[in-house]
Amino acid sequence: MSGSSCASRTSLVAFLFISSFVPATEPVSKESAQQAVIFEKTVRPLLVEHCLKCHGQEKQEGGLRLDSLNAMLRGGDSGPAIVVGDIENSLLIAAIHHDGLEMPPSGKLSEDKISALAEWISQGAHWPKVEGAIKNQSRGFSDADRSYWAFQPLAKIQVPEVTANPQADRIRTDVDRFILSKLADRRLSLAPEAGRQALARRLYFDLLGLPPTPQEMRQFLDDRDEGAYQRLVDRLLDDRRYGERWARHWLDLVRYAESDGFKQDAYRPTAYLYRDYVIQAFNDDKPYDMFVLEQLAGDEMPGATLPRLAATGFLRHWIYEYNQRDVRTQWSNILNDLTDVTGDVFLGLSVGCARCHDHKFDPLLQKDYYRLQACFAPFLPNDSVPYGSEQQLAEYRERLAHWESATSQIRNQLAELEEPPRKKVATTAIEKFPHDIRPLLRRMSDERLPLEKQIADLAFRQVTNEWNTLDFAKTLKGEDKQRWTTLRDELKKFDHLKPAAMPTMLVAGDVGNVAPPVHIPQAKSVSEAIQPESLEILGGTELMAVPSSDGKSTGRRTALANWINSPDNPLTHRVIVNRVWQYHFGNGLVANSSDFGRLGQPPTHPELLDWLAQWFLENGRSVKQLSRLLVTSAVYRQASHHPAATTYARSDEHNRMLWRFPARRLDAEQIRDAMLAAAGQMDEQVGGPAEAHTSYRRTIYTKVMRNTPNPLLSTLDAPDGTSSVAKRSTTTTAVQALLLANSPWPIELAVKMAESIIVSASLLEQQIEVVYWRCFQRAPTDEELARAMNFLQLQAAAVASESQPSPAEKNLDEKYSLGSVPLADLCHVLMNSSEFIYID
Amino acid sequence: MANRVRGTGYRSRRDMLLRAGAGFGALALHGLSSQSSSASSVDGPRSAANPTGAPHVTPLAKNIIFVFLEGGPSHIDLFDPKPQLNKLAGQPLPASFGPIITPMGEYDAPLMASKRKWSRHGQSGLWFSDWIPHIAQCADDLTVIRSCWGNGLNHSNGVCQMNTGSILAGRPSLGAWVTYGLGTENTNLPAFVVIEDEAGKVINGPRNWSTAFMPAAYQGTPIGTGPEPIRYLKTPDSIGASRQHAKIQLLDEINRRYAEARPENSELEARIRSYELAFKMQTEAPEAVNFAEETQETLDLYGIDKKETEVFGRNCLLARRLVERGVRFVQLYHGAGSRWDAHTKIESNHSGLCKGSDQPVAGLIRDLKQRGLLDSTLVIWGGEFGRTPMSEKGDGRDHNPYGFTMFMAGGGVKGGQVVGSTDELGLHAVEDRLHVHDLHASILYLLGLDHWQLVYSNQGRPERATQNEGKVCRKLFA
Repeated sequence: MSGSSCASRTSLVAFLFISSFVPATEPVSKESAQQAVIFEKTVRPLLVEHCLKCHGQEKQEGGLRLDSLNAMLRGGDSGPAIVVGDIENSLLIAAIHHDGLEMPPSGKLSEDKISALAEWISQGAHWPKVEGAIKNQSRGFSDADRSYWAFQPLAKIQVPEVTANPQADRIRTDVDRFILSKLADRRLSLAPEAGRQALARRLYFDLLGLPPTPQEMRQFLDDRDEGAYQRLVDRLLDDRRYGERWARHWLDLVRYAESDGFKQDAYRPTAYLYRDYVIQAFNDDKPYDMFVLEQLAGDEMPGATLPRLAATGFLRHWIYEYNQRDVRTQWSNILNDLTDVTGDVFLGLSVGCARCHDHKFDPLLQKDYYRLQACFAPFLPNDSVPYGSEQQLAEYRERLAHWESATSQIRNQLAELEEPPRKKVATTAIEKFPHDIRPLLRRMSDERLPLEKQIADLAFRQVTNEWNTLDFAKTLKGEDKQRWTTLRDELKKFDHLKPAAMPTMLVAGDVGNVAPPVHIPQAKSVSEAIQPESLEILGGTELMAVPSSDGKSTGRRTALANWINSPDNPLTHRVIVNRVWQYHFGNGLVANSSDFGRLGQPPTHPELLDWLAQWFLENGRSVKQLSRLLVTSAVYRQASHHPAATTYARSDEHNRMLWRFPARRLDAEQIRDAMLAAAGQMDEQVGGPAEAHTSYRRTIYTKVMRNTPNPLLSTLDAPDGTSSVAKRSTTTTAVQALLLANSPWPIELAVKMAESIIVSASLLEQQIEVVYWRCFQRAPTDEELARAMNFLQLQAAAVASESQPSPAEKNLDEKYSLGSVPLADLCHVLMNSSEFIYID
Repeated sequence: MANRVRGTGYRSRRDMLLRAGAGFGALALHGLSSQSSSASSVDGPRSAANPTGAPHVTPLAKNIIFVFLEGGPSHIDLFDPKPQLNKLAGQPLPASFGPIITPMGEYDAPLMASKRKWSRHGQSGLWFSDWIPHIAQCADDLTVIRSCWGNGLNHSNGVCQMNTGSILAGRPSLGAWVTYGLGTENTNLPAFVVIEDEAGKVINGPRNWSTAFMPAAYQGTPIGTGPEPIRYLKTPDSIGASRQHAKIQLLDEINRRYAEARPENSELEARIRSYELAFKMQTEAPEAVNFAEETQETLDLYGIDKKETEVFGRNCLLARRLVERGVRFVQLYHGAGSRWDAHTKIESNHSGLCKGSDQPVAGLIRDLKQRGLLDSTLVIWGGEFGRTPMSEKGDGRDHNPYGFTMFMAGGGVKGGQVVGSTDELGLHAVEDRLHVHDLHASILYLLGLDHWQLVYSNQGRPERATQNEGKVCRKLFA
């Protein structure tokens, strides 16, 4: 989808809603934006296809080159090829009209193309600014392309010397040296260290996605030992809830959802296995290269275990339309989705922009897109792997075999009777597909080529659907029907032997050990099939794929993962350390964390970025170690308010240099989870199938339906699960206010919270204290306490005089007498407050 | 424009105004500015895309009501008569029409005649079938576009594309783009609302009015005619007025104290406003759906007096009332859940649905006109696709995204004309072909937005409503 959205460099609209403001690039007028599109869509391909072979870098027939505007203006032996804005005097136009010169010699261009060139010249012969000569297929890149920062090998970085810095005594990790040194360059300084309460709250939400319990907070505040914070960091990184928070970051990136996303939006009952895999991977601190490999090619690994197969769920999150007859288009959409998401997530490149043409701003060829896609070309979704423990599976197989042998005769007879209607349904189902697909569906499986197998696999899912809705009691007539009914009743008698069906996983596989050939769609000349290769700018070298010995797999995805994981890949490790930085600090060192190309922003701290990437490689590619390094830094531990904020904002309005910690609103899931935690209602169960929005499980365990998301989450900017999201927006709307203030769920939790407080504290003051601790993890001030007391009294009067308590409130009131409903109101108010949903 | 914002380097208060200045957030603006400045310098509504408030081109319409007939109404039985179809009925589609894909594989099925009676209406003499006698009376206000086409073969694709431009999920809806581009006119109601004739039934659900990669502030808000027009608008019945008031009072105090201690974070002030606005909406929205002040004559105009037109008549009247109150974009669904999808028995299917929608739609156009609102309100009628000239199961028609009809009225659109045509059988659009992107570009243009300039930066990538496609069709305009 993003493929069609890269036509021109234009003024990027400032999205002022977003707390981390990203400044716009240079503005460009509407006209030139339009001209850029015309150039890219029509002129460039035309020149490449018809002209550059003889008038390009390699050959210059008649001394003429047509691969840059300057070359055209300079012209060849017959003079300038074009005069900007003047068709009459442009030799090129005369030549393509076969007026004097006859170009191209192979035959006159179509009228459309001739008029397109003429229009382009008359409109000013727009040429992209970032590009000199345009590329013939094999052309090299410009110096600017080759020296672009993101494609350079990681630089060996010396940690800056900052002993002279007045804040040198604040330094806690090497990260601080980089930040301090840049701050000093800009005459800025770190904010004072954050208060311990604010710091602990920040850390809990950051690492666990949850607030500390009042006890946990008190424990930390009471621990005055020098190493207290360090120990807290260690403890939280070891907490199993860490994975439940950090998996969410990854799920945003991989467009995770649990439904198909089209009209039917069918639920995917085992999609959660991937979510559980990701949670476990973060908790186990799986080395990042292994994490990448398992997701791209877990099925190709020797001894592919169930978790490894679950990891390939990464390749199964595409939207899917169960009744799409245009199978070829749906299949190519799926392959495009895999290619795009891989580029976004692992390489931080918008490769999708090179799907239809060479990338407009980055040195990415259209061929590069298909080199990546070649790794997925043999892909075949596999829905047949049952999920369960070794023991469950063994038991299942045994029971199934028993049932099968006991019923084989009956089932054979049934199958015989069912065959004609099934065949009939299959025949009509096949006829609903386009003419070019029908014959391959009628062919035997082993007569199909790899691509045909893939198309047939997708098409037969639809046939199977129709079989599943077949009602034989209605289709069969007369004697057959009677026999069928008898047999079915007979079969039912064996139901007690039949094991319940095992859930099957959504995993990846290959169509075999031979891949279908990959070509650029609509390419004029059919070239050799495109092979899995690295990007041209990174060498364009072959990715060595080893087909599996069992004939099941081409090994291409493993080869891709190995290339991504190579320490020499300049993108992978910069991208992941930048993401981790963003998760801790709100913004990445590279602001557009999934676009390291020219449309993104250059790093604010390039040396730090490279140093961190190198550090990551040298420290076992451990995300936890990296997080530890970052959250123990002085930069992280500073306050969110700087005494010199007003002055500093003048030179660094958006705090990109990190002179204070960026305070921010919690994510949707953190807010919902914090409500459950404050109410003392969190269901601590780990993993497993997703549950309803109203359940008390952690939010990551609730259903993610693409068409019907939980409104509480979507209005708080949770992603929709259709494309990769690198960073969420933060919006503030009246609809949010209505949801938090009036919808039943938060009110229900407020009542539960009040109840759980009343049973443990009898005095009003004590109750108020607990409410403050649960919601804000601090004691109320005297003033707050007095105000809350006053509120409870007012509410008691109001409840008595005018309210008709809800059943839950009535119950609360009867159980605990007057005062309990007002307390629920206080809980509800605090859960709606900014302090509840922001961290300092 | 973006660089202007940046160049002026807005500081806290100004910055905050702008941060709050889009979509629902823009609601914050009036409250803020009227409080912070004298009456003479009250800021107008703003949007993040358009902070100067100035449209790109002269707007011909201020508001839009998009009547979405969900499931795919048959253009060749409503607006696009095909005598040749009736002559060739029973025969297969001539090979000259080329191969096409239809979801039910009805390419080979025989052509099916239209049983409609056709007549010309108005001074313009536009053709209408006898299924839509009321709309026919508005002939001179309509531009009937007979040459629409799209890429969505199935409902989900088609509905998604008509709403977002793409057949695949993941892009913002047109209403979200408009809200992003123009902000709102009303401070107490959402800028983009959705009215469903059967809540929860619309294909693709809330995804149709979502914002995808844009901030949630621009999303559409479903609104109904019942006692709680917007979800969670009402304070729960169990909570009395003074009890609620005390809660809100306390919340406001707590939030203010928190914000005052953190002046660098302007989101905190926007949050305070968001609650104020939510409560203003509690007054304004029920007032908008209260029809007590409407005359019987008006109610009758929409067919609210008759059983078959009551529901949709109410929805159409609500659309007018919302537009009067400055709601920018009203998406009005009829037949939610693909009810226009006449694969079989098109006669009974379409005659019932036409009966239920014809008078309300015509009533809406006439009512807007008599109140002088039609000039500034663009009314659009259409579905996700049309239907095939080939039959399905003998008495129905399959999906046809290759050529179908929509109409526009009001807001800058020329009355009494036909634009474009389909082939002799109504299968493909042939003359003045208008792709969904072209429709969207034209709609944006009518509202004063240039689809090339309306850009949202998604992680650095410039995104446009029309995905860098689309051409404004000037033939539509008056």
